Amino acid sequence: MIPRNVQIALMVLLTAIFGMLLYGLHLKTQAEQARVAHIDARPIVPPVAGSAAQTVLFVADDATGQLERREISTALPAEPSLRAREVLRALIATYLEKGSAHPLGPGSDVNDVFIVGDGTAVIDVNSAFADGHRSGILAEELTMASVAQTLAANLRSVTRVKFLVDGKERETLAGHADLVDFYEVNPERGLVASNPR
Amino acid sequence: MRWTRTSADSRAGAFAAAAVGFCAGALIVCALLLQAQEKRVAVFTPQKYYSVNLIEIEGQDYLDLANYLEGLGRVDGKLDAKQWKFHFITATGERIEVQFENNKSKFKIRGKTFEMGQAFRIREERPYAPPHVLPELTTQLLRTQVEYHPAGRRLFVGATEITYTTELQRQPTPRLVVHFSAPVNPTISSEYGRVRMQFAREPVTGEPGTQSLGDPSLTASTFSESNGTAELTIAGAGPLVANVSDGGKTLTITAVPTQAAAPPAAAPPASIVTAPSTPAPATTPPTALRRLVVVIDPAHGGEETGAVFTDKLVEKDLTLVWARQLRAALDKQGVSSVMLREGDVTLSADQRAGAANGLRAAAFVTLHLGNSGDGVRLYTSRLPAAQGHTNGLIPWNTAQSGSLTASRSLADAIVQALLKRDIPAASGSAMLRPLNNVVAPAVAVEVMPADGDLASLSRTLYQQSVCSALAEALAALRKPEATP
Repeated sequence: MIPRNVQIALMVLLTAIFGMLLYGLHLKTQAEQARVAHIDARPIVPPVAGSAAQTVLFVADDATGQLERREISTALPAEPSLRAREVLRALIATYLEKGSAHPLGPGSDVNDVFIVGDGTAVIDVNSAFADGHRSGILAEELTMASVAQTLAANLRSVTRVKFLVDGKERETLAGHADLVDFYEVNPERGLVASNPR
Repeated sequence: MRWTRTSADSRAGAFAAAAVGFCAGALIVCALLLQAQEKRVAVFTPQKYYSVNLIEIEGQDYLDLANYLEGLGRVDGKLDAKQWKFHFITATGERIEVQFENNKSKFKIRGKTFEMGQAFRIREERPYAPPHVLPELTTQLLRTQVEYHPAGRRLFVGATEITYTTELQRQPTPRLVVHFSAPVNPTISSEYGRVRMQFAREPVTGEPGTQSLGDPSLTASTFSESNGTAELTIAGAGPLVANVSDGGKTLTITAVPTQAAAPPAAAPPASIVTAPSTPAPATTPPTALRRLVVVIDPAHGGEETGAVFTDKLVEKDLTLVWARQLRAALDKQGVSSVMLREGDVTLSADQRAGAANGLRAAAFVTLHLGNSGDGVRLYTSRLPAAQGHTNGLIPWNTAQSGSLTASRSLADAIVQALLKRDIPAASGSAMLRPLNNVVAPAVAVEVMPADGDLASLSRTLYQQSVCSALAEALAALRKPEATP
């Protein structure tokens, strides 16, 4: 027969152990949530060596279906390909911000930009850019127009762009926008030719 | 004692890890190869379809008899090293005594002996019998009609077979209409000059072999069976398009004329409205009765889902619903229309454009649904419009150039018709296939939810309202004032 005082002591100890277990689990959940909250899906951009310059961005807005011209000041390298990549990374960063009017998938990034002599820029985006993109003619067309217009505004020689995904050709961006053909920067009829609302 | 990790240790560890990884990879590859080559018998009953894998014992095919019988009823009995004695319990509760003996070719049902010409085997505590015993065994157990196709390894229990008939229609475009006795859902794949329909889960039967269809565009149909699957192949001289309709009971294979992209459409709308190379009979009134066929393309389909709105609402299904509404609205306007797909099939952009060109479409409308913004957006190709008349062949990639002016006019007319109905609308251009490859006024329509309410895309009223505006603008193509 276990004495009554030992029984009470054991009960108290068991209750304490159970309580500490619950508290420990609570702390673990809190720590995990805090860790998730601090994950930033934006690509890590290495520091750029170069002088600060005015950069023009054409930022898409899903609600209006149009591009908005913005000017920002950012450090840009002199080499055209690197410069183009940094400009596009600055553009993508605006889309990855919370509350963006045209959100892109987490982790979207530009791997490389190659400037070819005949006014063509080949833009190699990562798979997160294409795989995480929302499907729809307007959403996809806005992204392509935004990237092409931004590039052309900062590198005057660019007249058309070609998109690659992780270095490979892909049929469409997310089921609609054609990535096989070249994207002309200034077509006869723009993204929204008439919006009589 | 202090332990130190030497470079030799780490090399050995890396080697061991690599060896384990290699072995695991090799095993996975072997398993995949084995799975790919697995032989099976497909069993079709009035209630269900199932298949039983075959194994090879002493160079001959065997199947797990317990697995097979459990698909038809219940098996109650015991298996030992020498024999398998059990009761087969049918769906009506009848108990039938069955006995097989290891390495013997005779078996007993209700005390009556049968010969199967090949020994019964017990391996690893499982009973194995040759597949050719199945018709006799099943007939004795279920007392029903059983048919076995040994070449295709397909077993039909009871009146399960789905038959088909074919009908060749030569006008207006050569097409083969295949009528099935019950709905089917084949896997359709197509390549130049060939459409293949595979029936893995449907008991479709036919006369094996090739039959000539006697048409230069649709040359032959071939029915074959292998490893539990039936296949119907239609061969033609050029590209073929398959459509499913009538709830899966009808398959239509249409031959797309290869000269489809040839007419040098110089973009005058009048020449687009009429069939370009077929002069109208002298008795035909100038415009009123001219042939006007609108090709409706319900975008996506099959493996290509398009936008996913909710777990159950995907763009490929909704475009089909909207396409049917547009067809009904065009019917009301007295305009003929053709839908490029009636079911859930995969069509490439080239197939869609080829079919539209082959049908000599007066207009091409590809229907999409989006979830950002509201109202309707009309898109035309981003190509530059062709300057002057084009002679000779039209390049596939820029086939739309000659019709672009008409496409933009059509898009603007649709916008006006929508605005008249208080539906927000705008038009622009987009990089969207197959717009660039169509030799006719071509527009892409992307319908957004009304007032941002996603459910509105499924509402009949919204569908009818938008489609009547589209139909009104499309019907205006045949009016005399539409011609320059």
